[in-house]
Amino acid sequence: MTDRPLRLAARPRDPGPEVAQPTPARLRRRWLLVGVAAVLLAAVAGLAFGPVSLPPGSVAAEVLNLFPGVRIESGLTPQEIAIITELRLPRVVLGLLVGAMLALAGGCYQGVFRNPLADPYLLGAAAGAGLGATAAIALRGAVEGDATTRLPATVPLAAFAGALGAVLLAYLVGTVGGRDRGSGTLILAGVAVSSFLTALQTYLLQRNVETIREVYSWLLGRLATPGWHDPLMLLPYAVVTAVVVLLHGRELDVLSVGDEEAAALGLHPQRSRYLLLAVASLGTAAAVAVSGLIAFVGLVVPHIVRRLAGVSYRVVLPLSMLFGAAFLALADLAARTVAAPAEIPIGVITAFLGAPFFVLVLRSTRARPT
Amino acid sequence: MSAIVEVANVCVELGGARILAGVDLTVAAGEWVTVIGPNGAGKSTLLRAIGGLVPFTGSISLAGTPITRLKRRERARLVASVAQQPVVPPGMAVFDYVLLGRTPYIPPLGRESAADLAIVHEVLSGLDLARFAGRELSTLSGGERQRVFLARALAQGASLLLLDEPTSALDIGHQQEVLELVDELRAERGLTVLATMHDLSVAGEYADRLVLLAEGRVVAAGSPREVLTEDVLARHYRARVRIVDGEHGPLIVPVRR
Repeated sequence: MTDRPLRLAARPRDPGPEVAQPTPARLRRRWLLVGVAAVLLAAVAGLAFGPVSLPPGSVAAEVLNLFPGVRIESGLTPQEIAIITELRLPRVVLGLLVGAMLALAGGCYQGVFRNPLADPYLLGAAAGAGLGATAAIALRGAVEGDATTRLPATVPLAAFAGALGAVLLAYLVGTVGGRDRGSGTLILAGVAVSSFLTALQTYLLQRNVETIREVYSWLLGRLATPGWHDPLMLLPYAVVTAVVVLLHGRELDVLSVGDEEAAALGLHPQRSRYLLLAVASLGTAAAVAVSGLIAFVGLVVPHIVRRLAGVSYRVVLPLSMLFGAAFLALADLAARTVAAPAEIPIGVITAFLGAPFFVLVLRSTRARPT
Repeated sequence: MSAIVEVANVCVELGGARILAGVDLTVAAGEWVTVIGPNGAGKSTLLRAIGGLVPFTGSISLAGTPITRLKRRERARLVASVAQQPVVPPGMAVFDYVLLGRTPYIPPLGRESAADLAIVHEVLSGLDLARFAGRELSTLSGGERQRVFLARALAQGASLLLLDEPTSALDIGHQQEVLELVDELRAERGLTVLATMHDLSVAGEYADRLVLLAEGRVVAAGSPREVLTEDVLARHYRARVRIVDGEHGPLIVPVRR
């Protein structure tokens, strides 16, 4: 039944000329192009500027030369080319991947919990990673050399395990009374687990005060990567997380009417929620493992996207990835150039640049345009 | 006429409290049945049980199939509900909201087809909502919103509509407008309507049959004239009322004790 046309002759029809037929909220090509352009601009800027500044046009040519079959004369010396491809490119790629992951996971968490304050660290990933990294640094023994750059090789693994372990613990605590207890219980469990793990970390730090500087530098986040190891380690997690989360954009839109109505529309809200939390947490843990705790990106980028391009998760998720990537690559550029030769922790930059920008967006946009 | 809803000996316990205690109810295809009863009688819970949204014992069948044997998507194609206070997702446009009604037809992880979009357009213009399609749902008035909620349920293409207090947030004019609309749609599309309502006069004017629930049990059922009597209302609502014979059914006038 039901697909018959409605014939309600007595009801008034729309007066006036037909306005353009509205279409569903989808990612508009214009915004996709803006997002891709932002990523490319941020990447070229990140490659061009630093202790040695290079002309962006030549840098762009050298990036194109990385593709097989492309051969453009950039006019750069072999040393300059090496600076781009061997020193800066891994770091820029790492920034893009970490930014994309954190912003995507943040948008996903906000959708899953229907909570605008949700960020990728909500279920304890940050506290768990912090504890893991602190343990790895503190238990290694005496510090050799420059404390800020020489972190033990076990730190990423420990941070990764800590982040995933914390989320798992929050999940177990939050669902102990049955999986249908709603997302509020899970959020509270995340808060409790975070506090507990942070307390452990603080205790560990107090017992090993000589490591405070290293731990602190890790906690504030950094993208110092000596080569392709970190970006390549993050890549498979990023791909899995991106594919699974992006495929669920429409389902997150349905979840926005609440679990009961979503179930009445034929969905399994809990099933979708736990799958999405699992993959978003995996991506977050992988990002945190290589970059430390970079605040703000996961919380704010999805909100900026929502303000500018629309509230549907089919728009928010892919654009958050693109703008998160561009934002973090630019933040890293600022982190290593503003006070050169010293580096400012990137977490400081993301909050320092992100907060005023967010306020600007809040002030200059009214409610969501479609 | 064949029964579209068959409820037999249904019990529901929520949080240790027994909300429904052995409810039997049959709704024929094309019928409008309204469940009435005092606060806490279990009206909304009965609708939620029929929608498959709360666990129950006993049996509930939709169009002959026990709902426990229906997959969620199959169930959502048979029964569409409008909650008492539907969630209004912040920022969502009316068109996108109504499109959510097509969820049971869209493959998991897939996207809507042109046919889905055409149905949404048709429902929107049928309910005189086309001019609101691009508007944010949260900016609409109560009456307009209620029409949008109804539009989403219609877009679901189900033959059974469950309406939980569909007019409780509306003024008297909009109440009538929405209920007349439901009645027109019922005739146009051959829908079956199962509603809950507090306003007894209005309930009696629109429903073919009334079912009175009290403390989780059906205590009276039948035509509005059979159910809405001074005696029944005094017993189950502890209300003192006078019944006036109206054009479309009995009208209930509360009288001060």
